[in-house]
Amino acid sequence: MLSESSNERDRDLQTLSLVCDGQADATQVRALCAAWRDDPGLEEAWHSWTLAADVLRSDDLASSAAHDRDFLACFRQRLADEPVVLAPLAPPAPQPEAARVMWVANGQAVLRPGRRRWVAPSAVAAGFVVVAGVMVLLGGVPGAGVDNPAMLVQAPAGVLPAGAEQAKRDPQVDSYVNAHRQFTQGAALAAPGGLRQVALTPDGR
Amino acid sequence: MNPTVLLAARRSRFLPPVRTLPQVAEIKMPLAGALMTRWICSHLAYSMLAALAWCVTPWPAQATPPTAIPRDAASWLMRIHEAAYRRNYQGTLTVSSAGTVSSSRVAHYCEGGQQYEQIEALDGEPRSVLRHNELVHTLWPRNRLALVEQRDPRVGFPALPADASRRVLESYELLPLGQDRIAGHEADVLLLKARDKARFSQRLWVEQRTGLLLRSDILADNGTVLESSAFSELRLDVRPRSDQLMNALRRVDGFRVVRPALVPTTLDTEGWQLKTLPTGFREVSCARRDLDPLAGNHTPVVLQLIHSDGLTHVSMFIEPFVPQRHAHETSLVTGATHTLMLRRDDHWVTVVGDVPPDTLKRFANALERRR
Repeated sequence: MLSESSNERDRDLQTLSLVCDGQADATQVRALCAAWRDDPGLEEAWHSWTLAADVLRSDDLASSAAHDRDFLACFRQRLADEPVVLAPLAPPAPQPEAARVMWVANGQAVLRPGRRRWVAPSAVAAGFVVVAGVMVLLGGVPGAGVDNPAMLVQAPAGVLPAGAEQAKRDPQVDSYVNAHRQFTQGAALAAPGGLRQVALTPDGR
Repeated sequence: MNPTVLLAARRSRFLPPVRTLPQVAEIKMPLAGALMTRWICSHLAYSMLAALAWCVTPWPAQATPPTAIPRDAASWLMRIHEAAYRRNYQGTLTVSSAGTVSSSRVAHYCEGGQQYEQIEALDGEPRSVLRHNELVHTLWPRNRLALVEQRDPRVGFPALPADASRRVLESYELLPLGQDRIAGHEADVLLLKARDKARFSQRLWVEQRTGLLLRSDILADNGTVLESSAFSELRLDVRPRSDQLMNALRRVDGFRVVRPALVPTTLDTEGWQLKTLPTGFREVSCARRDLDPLAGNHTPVVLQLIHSDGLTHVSMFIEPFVPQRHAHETSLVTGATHTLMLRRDDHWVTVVGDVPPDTLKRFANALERRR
């Protein structure tokens, strides 16, 4: 019995060694993961081996086994505390063109279905700053096709503006906002408070 | 006593702590009087320093002299208004709203009583705006497209109408916040604090010598900055280059020129009336217009009604209800701009403004069809 157990342990350690070297196949990785749950010694062996390799490369990489675990636990907690970046989609209005950006003031972004669709919440914290990846596909200009490249925009992880009911933006609404800005700006444009009134593209977006 | 030492002593005694800008929420009413007193004292000291500097250092040949520092709120607004119209300047203006930042090169000239402006967008689609008085050309060179508009000089800020200073102060209280430095220029910081919750407060940075607006922030009730636009670089008192601008204005050969249709009308003529509106808002414009002039014949014609409190505006768009276009009643926000869309019997009403959403609701509720 002891011998069987010892053989299993040797086999797991061998598999662990293969994983360390990147030579294990999927079946071996699955078996090792199952064994990992029941045998705390495997984690210790893993850490010892990787630590030895790290120290050979640099003394700065030396750390206790608990260090990585604590870091991951802290990372998971911070991710859980992050605000949701992508909200559920509203029922799409008829939209002949590709997906457009919907912007929000409080750091949330909503994407609508279109030629491209991002479904999964891809909120990855980079330095724990909320970064919303937003695909901008500008609508067609009369007489010309315009596609703008994607751009990353850092969204502030601030609070909702006072009284905001919904934080999303519809491209169809933009024509009203632009009309409002064009005709309420008056004459002076080249002054603070004036430039945001200028439409960004020929179709006013 | 040595005059320099005396001035230094007075300055250190009277000037408030430099570059400490309290948030809106932190400003309490009893504090306002103390702030005002301290601020006036500081400007007395500044005036003395400025007078001394005037005696010993001549201004550059092309520079215009500084305007007098106002003692009251209405004069402050008129000073900002005058500077926006009369000063010649070039600079880079940066706008931050809803997590996006964009920059533009701008130039403003006033020559012979004529106004000229040139704006070149530095981000995204290349575009430029050229203005000669109320005539505004927006050019998209890649698409060879030119939008030619006649702007209304009665609306907008800092294009203040004659009585706007008084009207602004009915709805906003002007409070000095101290001094700051923007784009290398010393600035006085002012707060236009909303007197009620129907509008947002605004914080203004005013160049000390000329009164030119260097930065403006729109603030939520809790002091959060919803939108901000500021010069990141600015040259004042530049030589006017209006001839170049006018040449560019005439060069629209090969461009498809679009001139939006705008027919003035009245709400009464269109069969509508308004009940009680939020305090301070008055009608400044009512017209039938193409919603999106560049969309050609496909764009709907809407009735646009604009109200202003002297500083901010609210637009109401009224059009026939079309189920294909008007799917959902909704309320949206981008930066400081809120939008409310709802159905009113056989019509679709859209209310847009840089005001809190409750104000938009009050506008929508005030609208009635005349029987």
